[in-house]
Amino acid sequence: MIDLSISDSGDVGKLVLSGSIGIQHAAQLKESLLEGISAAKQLVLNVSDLERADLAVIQLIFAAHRSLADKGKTLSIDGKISEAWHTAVKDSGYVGCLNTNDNNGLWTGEGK
Amino acid sequence: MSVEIDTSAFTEEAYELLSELEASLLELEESPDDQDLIGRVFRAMHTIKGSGAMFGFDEVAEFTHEVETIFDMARNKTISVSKTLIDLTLAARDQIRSMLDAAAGGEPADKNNAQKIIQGLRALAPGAGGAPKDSGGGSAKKPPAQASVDEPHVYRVRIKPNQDIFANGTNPLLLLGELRDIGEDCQIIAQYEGLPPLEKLDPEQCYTSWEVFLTTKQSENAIRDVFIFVDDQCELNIRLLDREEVLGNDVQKLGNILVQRGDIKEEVLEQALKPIGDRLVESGVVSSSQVKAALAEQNAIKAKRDKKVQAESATSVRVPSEKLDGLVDLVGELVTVQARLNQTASTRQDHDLQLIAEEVERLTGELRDNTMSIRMLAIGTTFNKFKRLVRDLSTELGKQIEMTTEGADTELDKTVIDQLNDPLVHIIRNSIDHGIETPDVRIAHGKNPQGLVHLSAIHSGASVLIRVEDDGKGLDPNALTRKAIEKGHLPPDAQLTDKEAFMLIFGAGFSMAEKITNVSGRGVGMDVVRRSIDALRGSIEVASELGKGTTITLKLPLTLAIIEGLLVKVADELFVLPLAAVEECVELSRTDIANAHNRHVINVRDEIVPYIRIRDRFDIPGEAPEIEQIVISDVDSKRTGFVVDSVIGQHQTVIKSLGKNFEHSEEFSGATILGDGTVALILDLSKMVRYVEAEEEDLSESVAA
Repeated sequence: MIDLSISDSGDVGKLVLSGSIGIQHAAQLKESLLEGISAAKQLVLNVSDLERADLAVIQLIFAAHRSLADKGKTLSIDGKISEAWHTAVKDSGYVGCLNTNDNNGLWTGEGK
Repeated sequence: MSVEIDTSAFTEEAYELLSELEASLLELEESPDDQDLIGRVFRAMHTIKGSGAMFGFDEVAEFTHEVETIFDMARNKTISVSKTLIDLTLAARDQIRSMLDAAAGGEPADKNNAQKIIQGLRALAPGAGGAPKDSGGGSAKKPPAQASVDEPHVYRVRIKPNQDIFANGTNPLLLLGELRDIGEDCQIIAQYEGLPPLEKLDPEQCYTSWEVFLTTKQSENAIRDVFIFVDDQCELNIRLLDREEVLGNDVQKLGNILVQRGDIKEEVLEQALKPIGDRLVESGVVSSSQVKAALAEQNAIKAKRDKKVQAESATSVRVPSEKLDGLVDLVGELVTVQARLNQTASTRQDHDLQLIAEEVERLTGELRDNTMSIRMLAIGTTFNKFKRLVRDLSTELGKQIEMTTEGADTELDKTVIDQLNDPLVHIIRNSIDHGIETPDVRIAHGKNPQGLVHLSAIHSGASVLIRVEDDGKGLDPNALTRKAIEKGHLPPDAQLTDKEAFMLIFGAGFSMAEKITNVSGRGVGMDVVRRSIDALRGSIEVASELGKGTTITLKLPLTLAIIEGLLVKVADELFVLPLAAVEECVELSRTDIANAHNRHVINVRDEIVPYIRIRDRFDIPGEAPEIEQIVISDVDSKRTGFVVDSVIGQHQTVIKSLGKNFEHSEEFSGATILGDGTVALILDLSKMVRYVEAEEEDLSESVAA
């Protein structure tokens, strides 16, 4: 499930990904990401209940994270990063893709 | 086009490895938990398999693979080392040997036997019955068995899927997962440079490509098989990274790899790689002279290190033995020429020439000793073979026998070692079959049920003594004499000393065995021993105590190429007697001959010593001098004299064979060329004595008849 909520103040956009997310949700995920980035000053991602993600999801989150980093913004993480996310990062070879900009361990491929 | 490959290097190495393997297996039987030994067995198998495949010995490689697989399990402690495993692996070792022999033109190896061994080994695997080990995996598309290769290799696999690959329902992550499954190590690195900014990104397109570094025992084909269903949907490029030519050199530098992969241009690399010295000078941190000094220091250390590496890598060289034979021949020629030079120098009374001759003599001596030492091998490898023999025979005969060895590092000429194998096999077989009793008999005699065979080697002057001792029932000299009389080998009234009686076991067709076994009892073996030891210019001595055991000692010369001899003269003829056998020289006057009533014996310090007159033996014409010389020698443990006109002295004798035309002249073991170019014949003392004894026996029989 993809759930985007923007705080009342409009400062924080919170995107929650839960369950199994894949190519069939890709279009929706892109929209949510674009909306979250443009509408809120800060984007918070919660993947604590994510059970499965595929390459399409990884590509989208990476593209979003990279745009934020390019703009000097951060992608904050809410809650624990689920094992499913780490596995997807590892399996797709995206480990370490954001180098020093990965300040919350989203792309390490392993739990802290 | 066919390429001729020299396989001798492989077979030579494989034979050595098989010997090592046998020794390791026998040790492993004693200590089955020794991981080092298990590792040694595994490595030996692994090397035979690897180089076998490389040299085209596919049958050997495939067979060895099966054995290696089981030992890999033992190494990983999946199975334990049992007697069955040792038995089967020893049998496998023999099978590999037969395969190698067959490849060298010998009898074809028994394929059924190979199959039996493989089945036996597979049955040891946990959950036996099927193919062991590689049946796991989890990939539905299991690559065929032949696709697998021996050593794990590192491959770089570049995968670039078409952008629309998701549309076909393909999940690239599953393919990457399959790749991971066939590898021992798999590093997946995503290439996401083509990924557009989020706004422009089509969420249903694949923008990622990968570089995968896969370490696997599987072949390139097995890797391709993973992508078999998507080969039209992606670009696939596989490259073997650890090829010999790559491994042979230094690991490639990062910059070169980047240029090779097309990631950067060469000019960029050159700029980036400007020597650190230049860059530091440019930035004004150091002066160019400081850099030069530092560079000089670096070069000096490098040169030193290179020398050290070179020295370490050249500690041993493998040379075919024919080359060594050639070298020994040349040294032999040189020794002969040097003797001539000495003689010429002393005849001419030329002081300068004498000095040179002395110098050449010293160098020749050193060269000879060095050359001989190159041919020297430790007898240990031969000893190890016998451990196997003892193990197999004791099982076959239901006896418990322990074999111990001593002096395995004693060195002997390679030729001697090669020719020593058969006689030792016969002696040890006899010890086991006739000497050592069965456990119940041994217990009844108050002995340890486990018999002992002790094999030892020790240097003794210019000879090596090889002893085979057993603690079996020993030899009965009276029974031996009786048997010899019964068989007609001895006259009915023969009186022999114990020593002489023991030597009867080496007579042709003589056997004390009541029944003929696979092992011995045909009376052939020990006769072979005597002939082989004769051929090696050695001698045999037997000591035995009834009920306690027997010791057979072989006395062998260190080398067969050059010996120390005693040069003697009869009329104008020169002969050489092996100095190792010579004990003393005494005079023989006409009075002595008269006192002995013309019988060929002399009293030497109250001991009656028989002698052979060389002049008579070889029909040399002319009158013997008033006082002759008897060279008393030890021949087959008996003192025997050889009468000559005069003793010239010690002579370094380079042995030359007499050639085919004289191969029936058995009383000579060869010839040597003296300094003045004349030829002296080398006497085979043992054979001479035997011929004379046989002739005298014939004579006394014809007189009696």
